[in-house]
Amino acid sequence: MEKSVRQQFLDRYDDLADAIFRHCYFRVSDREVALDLMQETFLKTWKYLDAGNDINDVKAFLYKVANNMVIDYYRKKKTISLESITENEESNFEPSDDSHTKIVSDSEFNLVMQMVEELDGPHKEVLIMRYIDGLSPKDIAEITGDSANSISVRIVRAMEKLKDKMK
Amino acid sequence: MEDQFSKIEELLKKTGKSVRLSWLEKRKAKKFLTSQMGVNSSSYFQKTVIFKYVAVPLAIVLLIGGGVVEASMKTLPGDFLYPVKTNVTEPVKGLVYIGKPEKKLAYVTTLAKRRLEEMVKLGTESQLDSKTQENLLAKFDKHRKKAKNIAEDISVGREIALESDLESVLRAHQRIFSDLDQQDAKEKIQNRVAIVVKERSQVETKLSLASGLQKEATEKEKEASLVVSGLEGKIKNAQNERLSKQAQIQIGLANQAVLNGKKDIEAGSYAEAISSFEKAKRLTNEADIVYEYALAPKDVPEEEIALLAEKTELPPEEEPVVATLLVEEEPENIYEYFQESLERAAGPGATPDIYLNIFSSLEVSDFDGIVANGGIYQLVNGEILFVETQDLDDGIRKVEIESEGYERLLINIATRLGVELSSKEVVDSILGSIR
Repeated sequence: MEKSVRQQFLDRYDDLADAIFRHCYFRVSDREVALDLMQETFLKTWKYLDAGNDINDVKAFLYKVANNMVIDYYRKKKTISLESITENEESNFEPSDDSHTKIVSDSEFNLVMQMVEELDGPHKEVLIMRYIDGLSPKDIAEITGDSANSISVRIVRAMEKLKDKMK
Repeated sequence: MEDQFSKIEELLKKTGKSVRLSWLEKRKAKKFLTSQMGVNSSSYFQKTVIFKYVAVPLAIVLLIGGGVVEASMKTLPGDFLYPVKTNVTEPVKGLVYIGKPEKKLAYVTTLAKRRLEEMVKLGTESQLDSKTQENLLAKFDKHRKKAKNIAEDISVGREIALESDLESVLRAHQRIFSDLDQQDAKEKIQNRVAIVVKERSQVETKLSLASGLQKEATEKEKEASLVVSGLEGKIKNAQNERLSKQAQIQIGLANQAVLNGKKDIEAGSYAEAISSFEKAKRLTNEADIVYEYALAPKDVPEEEIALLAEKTELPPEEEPVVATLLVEEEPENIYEYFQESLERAAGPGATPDIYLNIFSSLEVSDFDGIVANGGIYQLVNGEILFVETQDLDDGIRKVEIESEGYERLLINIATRLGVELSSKEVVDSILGSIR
């Protein structure tokens, strides 16, 4: 029996809310903001569907919307230029103390994020999407518009750069 | 090089996993999303047929077969196969318990609780309308009455256990619907709390007249201790401090009830002992349901559980405590202390309105669920109303808050303030903050 589209969408929310939240969090480094952006991402996607549009790949669409939400957030914030989203910056990630499971210590968390932040934009993005968002190279290609092959190459190069930094 | 790559990969994955939504955050965001999604859909949805509730004749169900019947178990009101669940699957499963009253009782009680769980699932998705509430609660009432009849035929001990169990479940769901901001559902459940409190009180009277309760009292002591220590163990390594504190408040009260029960056994007051142990189970069960609702750990993937297990640090070995006292100190009863302090300020027999006048920082909601002589205080539309649940002998003043009511009052205030009830000093600070 077929579920309603509404229920199918809510099922996708159950599957992907965490991932989209994580995607936003590692770009805005603020839990509350990431929550709002995640919520808005799903709402905007729903409104797009509700207006009669088709979406072939809901997952990729959600990530694209989330990326746009992050960019809009920085535009509105105006404390940092649009270009500097992809520039090297000091990491200011502060994991909330009671709202995530302490699988890694805060010092490990900060060290890793510091290293990732020091990478250039495309390498940083692809590393976050691959290992933190848990997306496959094919998923990433769908979101960025690149080929899966070039994404794979970029991932390997990003890991090499990260490895050099951690020496 | 490969090793280093794997190490970095592992570290990045772990870092990613360390950031996730809590179940409460996820649920609240979903609630917001569903409220914005609206019910009426565009022509896009006409591509999909939405099946609504229909009555399904038994003959058709039998033709469909066992797979469908089992699939019906996952359904909720409004789903196509939900009638199969309640009219066929559940009754058929209950047939195996014919001639086994204890198991039948447990099964029927499970069905009653299931109706409340279905209400919560619908409530979290903003799909619990008034009609569905009424239907589910009518089914709950039916199961409850059936369970009561079965329990009456078994023993008075089973009766009191049933009333206690259902009271804890109802109180927990009252809190859940308050959290879901669904006042209508909350009030309907509140009314049932009042009924069950009244029935429990009647059964306790029956219990006090029964004999040969020593063995039952001893068994209840073991059950109560197990239940309380079970929840204590569960929240011991909990990540969410706020939720653990809330559960701790009730655990403290439950532990006190267990101690009271033990004293009653020593004094040969077995009926009182059973009541105390049931109270301990009731408080713990209520806390457990609310804790689980807020945490909902079912979404944690297997690999994360394994990672958590790796990272859990054992507490340092404690130095053995050398006994310096020859006589065991009695733990202070903070709940009696609280009651005495309030009664000193307002005089014995004060009612909520008097307390609200004297203690300016008390809130009306603090008195929700407070048991009094002859009834219970309930929060309805922002007001505290006294709901009568029993007739009393002449001379006993109704509306006077009972000791159990003062305990609940202290819990409500402590929960609101987010403090753990660990000592008289904490109670003093609470008293200071409500003045």
